Amino acid sequence: MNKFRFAFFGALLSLVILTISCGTSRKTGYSTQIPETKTLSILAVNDMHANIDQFPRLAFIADSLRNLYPNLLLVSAGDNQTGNPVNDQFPERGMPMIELMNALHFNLSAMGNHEFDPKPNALAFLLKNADFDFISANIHPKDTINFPIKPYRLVHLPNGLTIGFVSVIEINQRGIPDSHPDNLTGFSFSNPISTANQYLFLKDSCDVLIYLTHYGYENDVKLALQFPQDVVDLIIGGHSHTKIDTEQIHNHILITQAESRLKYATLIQMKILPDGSRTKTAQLLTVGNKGQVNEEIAKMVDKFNDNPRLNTPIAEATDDFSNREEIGFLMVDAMRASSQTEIALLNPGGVRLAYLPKGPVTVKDVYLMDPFGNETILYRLTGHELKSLLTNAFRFDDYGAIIPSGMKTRYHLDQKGQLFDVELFTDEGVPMDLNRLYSVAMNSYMASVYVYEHEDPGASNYTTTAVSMIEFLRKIGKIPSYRDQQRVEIIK
Amino acid sequence: MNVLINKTSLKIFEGARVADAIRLYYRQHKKAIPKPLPSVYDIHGNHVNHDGSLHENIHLYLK
Repeated sequence: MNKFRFAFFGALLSLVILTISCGTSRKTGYSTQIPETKTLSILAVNDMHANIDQFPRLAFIADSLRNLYPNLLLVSAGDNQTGNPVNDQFPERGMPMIELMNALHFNLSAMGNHEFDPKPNALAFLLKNADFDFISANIHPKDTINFPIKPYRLVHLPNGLTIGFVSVIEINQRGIPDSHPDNLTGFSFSNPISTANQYLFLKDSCDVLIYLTHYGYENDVKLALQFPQDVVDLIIGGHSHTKIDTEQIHNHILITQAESRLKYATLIQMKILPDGSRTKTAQLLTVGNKGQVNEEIAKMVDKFNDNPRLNTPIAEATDDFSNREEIGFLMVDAMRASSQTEIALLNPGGVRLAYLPKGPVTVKDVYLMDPFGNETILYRLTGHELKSLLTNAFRFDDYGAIIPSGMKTRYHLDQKGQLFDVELFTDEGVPMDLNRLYSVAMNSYMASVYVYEHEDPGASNYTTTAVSMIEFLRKIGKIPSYRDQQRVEIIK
Repeated sequence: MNVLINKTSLKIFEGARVADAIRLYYRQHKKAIPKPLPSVYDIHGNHVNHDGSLHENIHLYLK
């Protein structure tokens, strides 16, 4: 054992980026007498985003720490889901992550906004199959049987310590978490800060009170600053993908977050002294995918990665797609159909596949066409604003025209090849009313790089364009020919 | 959603991520978007990943 410990500490030292140490010496309100110094150890991750390839490494680190700290708690601050087709396109969407988290014996997870991505029925299935609890105090499901999301959880450790965990999730300006509204059917949400304050009473029932949040680092700081002093010990956060490798103590509360996608995990340790005073430390550990791994978990991950579903046909192309423009037409039509807008637009650089043969089309093909992970952004734009967008985009993209769906365009270049006008037409060739408002979809890259006149700042539908396309192709089954289609005309 | 990068106020779509705001920052300043995108830090000096979520009035810094 001693030999193991020595070897482990050597390895751990190489993992440690920084030790945050706050030697607080304060007593707290919990009245139970603690006759001896007791320790609490937590390994915390956040925003794993289905990065299952890091799990063998995380498992090795958790196993090693459990040898040293038998009462170690393993917790996630949410957003376990979304970001890896192997997980996101699994027949029971999201189950690889749940099965892996079960295998690693996670104790608890906050609900992140991406926990909602699999849609309500699939979320209920995931919650049912998780061996650990999901908590969030400001998520209020109507159906508490199928969505047993608890506001808090008290964990009783064998050493006699009782740990209280409370969670809150960020709510955007529309009063919901960042997810497609359809995914949030049957849930209501309350203000994170006022809700968080409603659970401070738990301090009377536990030795350590922790907020396991999916609220973003800056919001965690605001939360900490408004808490009464010496009630909350820790905030373990997520959502903003912040790498906390320096001491972050606000209002005597230690705040941690370990960036995202299991690049890191945070080892938090507290000592509660007999007089009730306590010390807290946090170490940011590198997880990554290099170094020793848990072989059993590696086998599970290999099995998930060998997912035949990614190569299973989801639709059939009835003709060859012989260039990027034709593939772009298919992609932009999929975006328009899935977003139910009048118009959809795609940048020419957004098409990454130049040839798609007649025959079966797979999920993998979609990710080859659209590997970026962009989301669909929805706008209400006037015809004049659309014209401004197309004009600026044409120049920005080195005279590559935007690929439209639901409209046609005609670009006029002067003798020097400079753009001087763009005409907008309906699919039937009728000039569009430039004073009318149109519902428009585009990807998040376009939404951030094209500077043009528009009133509506836009809003994401929190669905990637690739996922929308997969759903579209599954729905239509047979992909029509786009051969010889012309939607863009450039006149010199 | 309004976000602040360095001293520039940006109006960006709801649900934007850090990378979206950086790209808009460079475009608004009529500068080429660097590849790779530069590192980003919050007001407390913490590194923030490019795929991190934004919230209203968040202030980030490029170094």
